Amino acid sequence: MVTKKAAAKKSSVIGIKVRFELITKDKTRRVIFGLEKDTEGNVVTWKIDFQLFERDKKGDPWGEAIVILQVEVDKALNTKAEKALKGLTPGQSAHALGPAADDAKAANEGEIDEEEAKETVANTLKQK
Amino acid sequence: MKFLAPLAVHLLFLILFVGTSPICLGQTQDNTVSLESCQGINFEREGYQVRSSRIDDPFDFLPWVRIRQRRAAAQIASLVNGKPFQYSTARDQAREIIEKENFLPDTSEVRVKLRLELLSVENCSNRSLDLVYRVYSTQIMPVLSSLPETRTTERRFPQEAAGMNRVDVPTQKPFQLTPLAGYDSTRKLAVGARLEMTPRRLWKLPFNSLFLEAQGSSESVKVSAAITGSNDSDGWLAHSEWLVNYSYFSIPTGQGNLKGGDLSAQFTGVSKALASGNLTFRFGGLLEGGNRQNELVNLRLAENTIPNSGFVSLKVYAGLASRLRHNVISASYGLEVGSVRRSEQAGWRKHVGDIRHELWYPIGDHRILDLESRLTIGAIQVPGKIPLPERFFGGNHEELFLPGDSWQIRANPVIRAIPGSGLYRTEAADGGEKFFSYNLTAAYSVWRKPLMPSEIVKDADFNAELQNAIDVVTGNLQNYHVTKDAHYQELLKEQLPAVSTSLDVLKQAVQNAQQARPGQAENQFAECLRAINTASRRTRNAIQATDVGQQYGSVRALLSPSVEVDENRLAKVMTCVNDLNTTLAIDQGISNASARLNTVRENMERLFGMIDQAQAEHEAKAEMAFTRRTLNTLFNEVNLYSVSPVLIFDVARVGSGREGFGSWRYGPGAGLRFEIASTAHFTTGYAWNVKPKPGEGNGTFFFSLGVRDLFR
Repeated sequence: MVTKKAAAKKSSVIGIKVRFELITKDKTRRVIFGLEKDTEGNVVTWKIDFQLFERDKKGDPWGEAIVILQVEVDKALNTKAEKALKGLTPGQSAHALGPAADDAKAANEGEIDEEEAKETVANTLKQK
Repeated sequence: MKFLAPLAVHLLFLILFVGTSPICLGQTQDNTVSLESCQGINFEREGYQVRSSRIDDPFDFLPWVRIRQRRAAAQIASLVNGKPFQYSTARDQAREIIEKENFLPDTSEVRVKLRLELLSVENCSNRSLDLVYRVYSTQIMPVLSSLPETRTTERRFPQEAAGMNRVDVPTQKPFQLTPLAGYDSTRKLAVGARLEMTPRRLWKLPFNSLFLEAQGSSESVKVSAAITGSNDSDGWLAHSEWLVNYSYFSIPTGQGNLKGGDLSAQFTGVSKALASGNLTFRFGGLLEGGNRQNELVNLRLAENTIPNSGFVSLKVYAGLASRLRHNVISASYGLEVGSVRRSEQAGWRKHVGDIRHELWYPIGDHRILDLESRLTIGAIQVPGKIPLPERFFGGNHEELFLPGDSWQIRANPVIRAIPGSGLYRTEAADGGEKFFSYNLTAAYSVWRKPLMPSEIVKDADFNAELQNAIDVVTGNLQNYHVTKDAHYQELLKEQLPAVSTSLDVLKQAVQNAQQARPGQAENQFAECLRAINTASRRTRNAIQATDVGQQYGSVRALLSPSVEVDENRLAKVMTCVNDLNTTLAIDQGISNASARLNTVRENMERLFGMIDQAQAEHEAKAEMAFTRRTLNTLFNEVNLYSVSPVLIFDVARVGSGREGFGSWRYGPGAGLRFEIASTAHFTTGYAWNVKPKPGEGNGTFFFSLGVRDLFR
C-alpha cells in the first residue's frame, strides 16, 4: 500500500486552460478570455485566447466570433499571468470587456494595427 | 414545549449517525501504483510514446455530453495513441478538438459560466505515458440555488444544478418522459409518468414548458397538465414564474376516496439575494376554481361542511429561504380564502405554515449524512361553508398548497405510517380544522461514487481554480454595481460628453499648431495626435456602448485607476500635449484647449474617486453567495450514485377547532434510499403506526420511484 501523496506523483499536469466567459448585462456582447499555461519539461509558456462575439439582441444566436486573437504572453508578465490564471480581477474584467474588446474590433475593421490590439489585450494582465 | 420532543429526536438521530462515522472514516484504500514520476520531463525530447488517451467529464452520463466526449476521444486517439509524444498534437491539436466539441454549449440565460481544461500525463514508465484530458464546465442560476427544492435536485440530478440540462444542442431533445411509481397499503401500487416538453418556441405565448403527469392505481388517480413560463432578471425580482394548471385527483383514505378537479393560474416571484447574500424572499398568488367531492363511508360531517361542492379560492403565499454551507432552510406561509359555488361570502380561510430544514454533512469522503426535517402547521377558519375535501386529511399522501415543483409548500399532516389519506378522524367530525406534523428523514450514504473524481476534489490547485473562477464572476458583477453609483452616473451625464468635445477641440488646436510650424517637432506632434486619437476612441466607445460593463471599462481606461494597464488615457494626453507646448514655447490654442480638457479630467477623477467600490464589492459578493455554496456542494459532495440506509420519524396531530390539535400520532420507520444521479431515485421502507386507532393498520410498507427520462 502506498500513500495518496505518492500516488499523486505519478501524474503531471502539462496543460491548463481556464476559460472565463464574460457576458455583458444586456447580453449582446460576449468575451471569452482563455488563459493557457503549458509546461514542457521545466519550461512554462503562457498564451491568451481572446474571442469577441456580438449580436443585435438577446436571444439571437451568437454565431462565429467576430474577433479571435491569440496572444503570447510576454515573459515579463508571467507572474501576472500566474495570478490571472487564478481569476481576473474586477479591473481586468472591465478592461477585457471594454478597451480590449473595442481595440480587437477596431483592428478587425482596419482602424488600428492588429499589434496594437494584441498589446491592449495582453495589457489586461497588467491591470489590478 | 410539546413541540420540542420531535426536535430532541432530530438531535438523537444526529448523534447516532455521527457516532457511527469512525467506522467509515477508518476505511482505507489500497492505492498501489507505479511510483515513476512524470514531473519535470520534456516528453517530446525524451522520446516518449503515447500508450493511451482519454477524456474525463463528470457529466458524461448525459447523452449529449457522452456523444461529444466519445467523438472527441476517438479523434484524439487516432491523433496520438501509439505514436511518439508531441506537444503540438497531444496538447494543441487535441485542445482544438475539445474546444470544437464545446462541452458547454450556448445558453442565453445564464451569466455564471466557467470551464476548466486540464491535460495530465500519467503512468510514465518504459518511455510510455497515458494522456488524460479533464473538462469541467458548469453554469449556475444564482438565486434559485438557495431554495430547498434545488438541494433535492442537486442530489438526484446534479446535471440540472450544474446547468448542464439548459443547453441548446440538437441532441438535447425537447421532451422528457419520466416514469413514476409509488406504493402504500391503501393507495396500492400506483404507476404513471411525467412528460415535460420544452419546445424552442411555443407560438408567441409567454410560456416555455408543458407538463403532463398521470399516476394511477386500483385505488387512486392523479392527473395534471400545466403550461409554465419563467423569466430571470438582474433587478430585485431575480426570478419569476407563471403557471396555468389543471389537475384531477381521487385519493383513498381507506374509507372511501376524496375527489376533486380544478383549474388554476399562479404567479411566483423570487427576490435577488438579500441580507448579505443569506436570504431570498419568495411570494406569489394563485386563483383557482373547481369542485370537490367525497365517497367516504360512515361520514361524520361537521355543521359548517358540505360533502360535495364547486368552489373558487384565492391563495397568497410568501416565504424566506437561505442556504449556508451545509444547510438549507426555508419558511413558507400560505393563506387561502375560498368560497363554495353560488356563495358571495368567504366560506373558509386556510392558513398553512411550513418550515423545511435540510442539513447535509460529509463524514468521510463523499459519505454524506442527510437530515431532512419538516414542520408543518395548519388551521382553518370557517365563517361560512367549506367542502369536505378542503379540510385537513393526513397520512402518507402529501398535498401541496401550490401546483408545480418549484415551490413546495406542504398543506396537510404527513405521517408515513398511515397509508393514503387515512388520518382525518377527529373527535368531533371527519376532516381536521387544525394540524401539526413533524417529519424527520435521516440517511447516510454507505456506498457511493463521487461525481467528481476524488483526486481532483482533493487537488488544491483545482479547488483554487474553482474559487477563483467564481471570483471572476463576482468581480464582473462588482463592476456592474459600480455603474449604479450616483457619482458614476453623474460622471457619465455631465463629464463624458464634455471630454469628447474637449478632445476634439484639442486635436484641432494641435493640428493648427502643426500646420503653422511645418517640419518642427514632427515626432511629438505625431505622438500627441496618436494619444488624442486613442483617448477619443475610448471616449467614443464609452458614449456609444450599449452595455454598462463595456462602458465602464472604456471610462476607466480614460482615468488614473487604469494606470497599471498602461491606459490612463487623459493623463497621457495631458503629459504629451504639455511637453509639446513647452517645445513650441507655448501655443495659446493648445494651452486653452488643454486647460479645458484638464478641468474635465479633474472632474472625472474626482467623481470616479467618490464611487463606493466597497459597497459594490459587498453587493456582488452577496449576490454570488448562494452560487458559491452551490458550486462547492456540487464539486465536493454530490455523488454519481449512492445507497443509504434511512431512518424516519414522523409525528402528526389532526384536530377539530374545539379539541385543538387532537392526539399525538407517532410513526417511526426505517428503509433504504438508492439514488443514481440523472437516472433513478428509489426509496423504500416500513413505518410503524404506534398505537393505531380502530380501522387503522399497524403500519405500512412504502416506496417511491422516479426514473429519469426514458428518451435519453
